[in-house]
Amino acid sequence: MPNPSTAAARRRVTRPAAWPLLVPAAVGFAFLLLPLLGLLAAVPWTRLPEVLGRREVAEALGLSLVSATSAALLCLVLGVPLAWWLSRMRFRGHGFVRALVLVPLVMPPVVGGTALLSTFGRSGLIGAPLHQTSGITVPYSTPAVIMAATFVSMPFLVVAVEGTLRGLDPRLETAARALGASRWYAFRRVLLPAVAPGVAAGMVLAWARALGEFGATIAFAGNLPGTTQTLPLAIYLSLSKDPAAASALSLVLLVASLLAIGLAGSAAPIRGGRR
Amino acid sequence: MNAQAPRPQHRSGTPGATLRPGDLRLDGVIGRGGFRLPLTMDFRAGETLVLLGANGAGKSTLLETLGGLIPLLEGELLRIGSDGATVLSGPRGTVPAERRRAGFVHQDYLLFPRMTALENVAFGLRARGVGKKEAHASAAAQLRRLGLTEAQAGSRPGALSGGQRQRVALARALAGEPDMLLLDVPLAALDAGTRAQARAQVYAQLREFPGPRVLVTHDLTDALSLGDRIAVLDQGTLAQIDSPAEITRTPRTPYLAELLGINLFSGLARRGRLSIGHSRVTAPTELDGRVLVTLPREAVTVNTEAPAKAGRNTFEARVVAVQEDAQGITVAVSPTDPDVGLACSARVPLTSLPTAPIRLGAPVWATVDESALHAYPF
Repeated sequence: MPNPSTAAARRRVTRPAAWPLLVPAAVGFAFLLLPLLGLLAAVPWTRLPEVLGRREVAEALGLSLVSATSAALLCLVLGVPLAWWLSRMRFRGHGFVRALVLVPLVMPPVVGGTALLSTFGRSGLIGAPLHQTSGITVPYSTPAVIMAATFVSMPFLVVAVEGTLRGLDPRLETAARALGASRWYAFRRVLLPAVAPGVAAGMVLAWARALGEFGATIAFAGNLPGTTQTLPLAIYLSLSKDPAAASALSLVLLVASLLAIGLAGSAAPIRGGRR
Repeated sequence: MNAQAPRPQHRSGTPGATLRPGDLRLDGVIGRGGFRLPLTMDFRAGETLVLLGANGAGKSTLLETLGGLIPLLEGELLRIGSDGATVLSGPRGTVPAERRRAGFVHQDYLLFPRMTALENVAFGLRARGVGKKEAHASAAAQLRRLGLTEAQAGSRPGALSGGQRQRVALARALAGEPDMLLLDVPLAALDAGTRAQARAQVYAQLREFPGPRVLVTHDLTDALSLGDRIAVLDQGTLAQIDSPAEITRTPRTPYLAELLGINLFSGLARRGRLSIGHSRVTAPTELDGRVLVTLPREAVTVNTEAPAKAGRNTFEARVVAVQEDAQGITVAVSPTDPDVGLACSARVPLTSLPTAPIRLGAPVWATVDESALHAYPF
């Protein structure tokens, strides 16, 4: 805690040097904010009920919500144990394994979609035997939309949860076991509650990322209205035909993102409470 | 797993007493990550055994082996029951920590941060399948016994003081009515003010616990005041295991001598005279053969000027270390001629400092009071 006098001293010292920082800061802030205002200005407010009431829009929105929520839940079920495993890894080259898990975070989504297609496509590594034995085809289906969204958003949850798990004293699990808890009971009752804020923040991030997913979806699941056309795809399509409608649909996603930020923000302050 | 009765004692380190129900007998090699420590020792029910040693001596490793958190590398750990012995750790398997009934007080306590003190104490019972109501009632009684209020029982560890957390940790360890109580530096995290009070409380709780009590510490006061026996782990061996009185009278390792603040030498007793290395310092003795010799630091005087009449036990030396504290200074000296003097430490009270200041590297004259030399068989 800085005491008031040193804080005042620091203000005095930094004031002359502030302009070279403040000007680019203001430009950066404006650059981020202006497009949002531009979008709001372009929204055809009077046509809003009509645009949002269209059947294909309702379908796209519903599909987006279902697939984003499913993806977030898949991330929870698969990603939390994965984060637990990553945080416990002690073998040589575990840094490489962690990097592999984070690849979808930096890879262009359309590359991820192509990779999914060449793996789960009808002639893919897993897709071919799957199709031959059961007749199931994964691409261009709603499950493919969910898979694409999960693929791109899982790293967000893994990073958030692994960070909180690493911040946790690993001996807590030992203490629980010494008290008679099985590993599963210790994970459920001690580790999971302790990382709950990280899990919540990770899920919100993953959900928001899944909701906005475009590149991997269009490559792996295509753009079939009612089956695989999510809201971002619908926005992209209507951009050429009806730009005002595209703005209206964008508003929906913008509101969803703001809600996600609010949720993540309310989860964040609970973090850091290690004791 | 029931095994045959424990084999007779054949290696050093353990008094060959008969074992009674509740006792633990360890005869094997403990260790982890390349560290190995062969140990043969008993942990008796109703007795507090203190493990004393420097960092890395294997104290915590031993505690975790007893509690089943890490495996025994070789040999066996037995728990004596009323009808024969149970193998807790052995070549044919290990009773896992969760079924071993060991009450642990961990270093830094390791209380669960997102549970109240009450939930922490009830955790072990809940994990073993006891119903919530029953577990909480029992935990509340345990916390009351240790003097925590209902409000404190309902608080999370983060809201409690160090001393209160220590008591919650003790209550948590006792709640499952364990077979053994294992305490890893239970007082280290406390400040000097709460420490004496916490020590008295730990002492009282230990007295009441019927099973073996094993306590790790690197604090001599804790060891002497809490231990019925003290095991000194030093330089990769069990160096000594004795009563507190015997530990202070006849220390057997330099580590222990340093803790006690005395000088320790190995010497030779022959024809009624005691000699330490080549030094001229000597004293009469009734022993014969190799001996250990202690010399209180207070029995060594250091002067910055040559004494008028140099006796047999006075020698020239150089100051190799000076440590000051509120009561005086401790001076380590190294003799200029090792065939004459002794490398030792002197305690100089502030009230009798020499006229010239004692500086590192300065030449001094040290005098040993030979009547203060205490020799005992090696």
